[in-house]
Amino acid sequence: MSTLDRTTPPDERIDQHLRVFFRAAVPAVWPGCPQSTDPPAQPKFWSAAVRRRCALAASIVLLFLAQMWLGTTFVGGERSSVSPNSPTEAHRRARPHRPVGRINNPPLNLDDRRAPVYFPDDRRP
Amino acid sequence: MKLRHSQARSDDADFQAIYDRYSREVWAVVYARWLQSDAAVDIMQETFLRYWKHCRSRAEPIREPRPWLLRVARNLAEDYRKNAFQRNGTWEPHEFNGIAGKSPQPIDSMEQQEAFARIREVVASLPAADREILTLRYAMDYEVPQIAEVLDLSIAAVHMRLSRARQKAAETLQAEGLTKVP
Repeated sequence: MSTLDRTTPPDERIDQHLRVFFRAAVPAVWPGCPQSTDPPAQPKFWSAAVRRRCALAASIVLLFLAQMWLGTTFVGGERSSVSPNSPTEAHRRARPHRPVGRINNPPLNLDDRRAPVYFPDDRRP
Repeated sequence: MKLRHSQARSDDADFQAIYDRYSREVWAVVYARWLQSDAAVDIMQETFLRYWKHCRSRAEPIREPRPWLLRVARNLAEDYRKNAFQRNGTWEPHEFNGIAGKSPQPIDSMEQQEAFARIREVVASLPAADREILTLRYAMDYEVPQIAEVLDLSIAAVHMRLSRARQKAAETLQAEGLTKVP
């Protein structure tokens, strides 16, 4: 604390007053630069995205090929592994497949009770 | 990847440089609005946080940081009084000065508080633009050309406002017989 002399010019005195007032307001310790607490952003590479898409496409192609292979080896389909001159194949050709089931046994219509009952020999009661 | 890391380091260095260069000016502008040092520090940091977020976003880059920072700081200072804590009222900061116990003697502290209270009244009665000039002049020790550059005013205008503010302060303080410098 200091006391100004009465002979001090008023302008200087006012300057002193204002300087002391404003200097007292300045923080004694100036806050440091705020640092970001966010984790550093991971760089995104286009190669990673391309790799993921390639892997997806390859898996789809593999799935399709696997389905085709399973289709060719299915029991009811073309028997590529069976020789056409084998006895089994000759027997199959001699007795062609005759469909059974729905053609000779028409389905019963349970909803329509008044529907005519099918008699194979056409013998009505 | 190295390029990105070096870019991030460059951004950090740029931000640090801008903070070192402009943080005191931002604080001075905010302090001039409400004459509250702690609030001015908070608002100053909030201003730089917004600047950092703006730089990190993909928004248009800021070519002139100083006007941007001062504009945001003034807006934040205006909003400061609108929050609930400030609106509902609390003691003025100078009421808390004695609580910290930093003052050497109670009688000196009392004299200082009285003197500061009178100066505060005088300064608070000035226009906000004049308070900014006074803060930069006396708190930051800026010369008139520097003040004119910061506030984007002419040197003559700064001289005129500074002279007017000092004249008014002198009249008030002399009328109250305040001759001691606190």
